[in-house]
Amino acid sequence: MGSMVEQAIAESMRALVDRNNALAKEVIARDQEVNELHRQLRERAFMIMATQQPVARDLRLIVSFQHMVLELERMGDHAVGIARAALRLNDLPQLKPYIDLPRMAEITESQVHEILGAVIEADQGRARAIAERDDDVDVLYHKIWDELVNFMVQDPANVQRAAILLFLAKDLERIADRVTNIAEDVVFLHTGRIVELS
Amino acid sequence: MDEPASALDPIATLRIEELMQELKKRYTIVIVTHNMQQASRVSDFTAFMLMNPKRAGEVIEFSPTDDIFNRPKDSRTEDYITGRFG
Repeated sequence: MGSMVEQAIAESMRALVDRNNALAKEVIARDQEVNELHRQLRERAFMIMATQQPVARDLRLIVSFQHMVLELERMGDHAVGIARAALRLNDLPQLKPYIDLPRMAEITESQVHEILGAVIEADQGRARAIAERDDDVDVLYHKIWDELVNFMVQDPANVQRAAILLFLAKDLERIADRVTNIAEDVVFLHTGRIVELS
Repeated sequence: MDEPASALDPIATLRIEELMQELKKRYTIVIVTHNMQQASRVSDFTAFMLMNPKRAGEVIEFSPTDDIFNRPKDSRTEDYITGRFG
């Protein structure tokens, strides 16, 4: 499920940068598979809880995984948001060269990749370090925000495209936030303590 | 109380547990049970004991019940309450 979401995020951004509508539509269609996996995993977790009455680490594992897969499913939804934004933008003249957005996407994608590694290796130290990097994404997000608002102020003809790009940037920023949430789940899995890493 | 609800049906078990909740307002109760759900339901503190080659009833861990069942410190406690042995 993690790999599918990683791929969806990368391809939704490529659909924007390469102005590739077919790829954007693929991302949107494939989200159903992520949703179905999420449903299956929830069902399995519920069955284990109902039939095995897990406690301690077993219970923490199931509770934290349930939350992690929810976060992954939502990341998939954000990738769909980016793909939909790409579809709308690709039909319009490009407002500006895409520089900061792909950079923001690059950091976000690497965070997603690394947090999945931390989950698999059950490495809470690594999870904490990844969560700390959320600030880099936030800085870029605010920079993009300011730039796009300036475009809107300069010319009302820019408003539609700039607004779509703002929503797209917000999707990326939320993906990074969800990485932090998964990092918190990794810490919970280890310690049994619910921590706030943001 | 040594296994006060062993071999009892669920309704009779519930009565015993309700009585314990009532009594604990005035008395300290020590209950021996192998029923992990009962231990987590009725107690404020839990001690986990094991037989070792030299002696019976070695205390492996004593903590608030919430800690024993959510984040036990000793791996033997964890293995027992999660059903890996016993």
